Amino acid sequence: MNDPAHLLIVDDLEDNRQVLGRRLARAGFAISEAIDGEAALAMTAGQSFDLVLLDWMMPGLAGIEVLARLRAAPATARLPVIIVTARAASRDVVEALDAGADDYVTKPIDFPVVLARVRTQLARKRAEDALHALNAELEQRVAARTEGLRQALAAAESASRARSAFLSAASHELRTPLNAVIGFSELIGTDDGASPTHRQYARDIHASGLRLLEMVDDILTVSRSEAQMTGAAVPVDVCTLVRRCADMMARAAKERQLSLEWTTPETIPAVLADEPALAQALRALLSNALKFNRPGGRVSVEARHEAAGLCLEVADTGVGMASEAIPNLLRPFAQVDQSLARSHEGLGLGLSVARLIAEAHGGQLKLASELGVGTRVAIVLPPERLLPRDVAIASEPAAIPA
Amino acid sequence: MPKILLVEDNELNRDMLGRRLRRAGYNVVFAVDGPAGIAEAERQMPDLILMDVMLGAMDGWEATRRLKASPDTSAIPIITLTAHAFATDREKSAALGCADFDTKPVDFARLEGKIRAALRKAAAA
Repeated sequence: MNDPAHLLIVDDLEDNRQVLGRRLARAGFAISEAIDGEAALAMTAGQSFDLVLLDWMMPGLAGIEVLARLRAAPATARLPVIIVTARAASRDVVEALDAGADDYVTKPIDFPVVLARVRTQLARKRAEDALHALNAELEQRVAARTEGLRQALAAAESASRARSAFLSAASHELRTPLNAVIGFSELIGTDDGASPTHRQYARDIHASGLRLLEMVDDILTVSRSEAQMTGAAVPVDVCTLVRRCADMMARAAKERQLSLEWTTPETIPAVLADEPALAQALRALLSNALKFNRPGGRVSVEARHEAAGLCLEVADTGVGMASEAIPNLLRPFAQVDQSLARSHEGLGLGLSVARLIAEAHGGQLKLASELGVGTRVAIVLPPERLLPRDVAIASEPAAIPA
Repeated sequence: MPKILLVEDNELNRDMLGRRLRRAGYNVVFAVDGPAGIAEAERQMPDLILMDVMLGAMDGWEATRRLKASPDTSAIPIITLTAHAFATDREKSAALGCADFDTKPVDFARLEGKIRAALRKAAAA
């Protein structure tokens, strides 16, 4: 058993204090007595009690005044107080409860009732204390967890900065040797002094170097954070961009016996975009369309000016994708079926690259695919990316008189 | 035959890009670092400068800044070259008043397009 609960009896009449005190002591409580309100306040300020039995009608400080002061002091604000009042005075009871008394007993004292109410209040206080303790522990845990998360966030931010620095260095270091590979192989490949065989070797090295560069760029693109993605916007002529990208893919298309065509109406507006990034995105889509296709198939690129903005769509007659596989293909490094990625050359980053670049421009990647039929995937740049002067040119074509 | 000053510290790259430019019909002169780049620019008065921004002694940004600050050389179009694939370098180039920017390894056809455009613009000015 714990220490006995410590009760303070406040009453100006000694007889009342002693009768109640003796009986409560016999019931197992530790008892202190105060002869008036001033004494009660002095005692509760000096030590802690478990409960106060407070006479309501006292000379000097009245019960209501004592109660008000107890409630006002933080140490005793929640101390259980049972007031002792004359039977008839229901107005006193209401006043006391309103002022923060926990319960009341009436005079003359019916001791079993007092005992029951004291025990009830003590039990209630214990439960309340337990709840408070739990609450405090919870708050402390929340604070500790918050601190933990703050530290984790700081660590993540620091890691992100380190990653940026690493990517910047890696970008430089990986691309530098490719300078020589790509540049010299092009020189030899176009050198009349070299034999036709050597020129062909050099052209193969050149093509391989370009592919390696493409892969390095794709890895860097998906590894970058959003903030690092958004490049400087310059006016980009969409027709030239499409033609250049398609030209670069023409040889691969021919090797795979695929037809590659593009449609770029003269009315297509120029866009404000990060030109190398946009070209990289379009090449990624074209590369996929060629890769996941069948001999005799078709790949087409179309630039369209729509209400949603500029749409660069690549359509193929290839193997298509199951709809449940698409969300995974849009996330880097998360191909749903590794065997698919492995049966086709490349890193499988194309859709992620295109999506990240489209989103970095405030646009989006739209994708529709049917297994065994083909895929249509479009980079959509928002209207604010279109250059106004050309938007006017690209409006409804004038009707030609019959 | 336009004269191009190629400022590049890597010998292999200098040789390679120089040969490609010569084959494309340009008169090419070289400098291996920032101070030499500034000296050659003043001595040779090239029609255009290709500036690698990652140089040993004095980086290409600083050399570019000084060339643009000097009345003798401020009108020479400069195309900066970097092996970083990050777009911030392009913004930096534009802020310094460069004619253009490209990434290494250079896509030669693209770079030549930029060279021709910069020369045309400088001639018109």
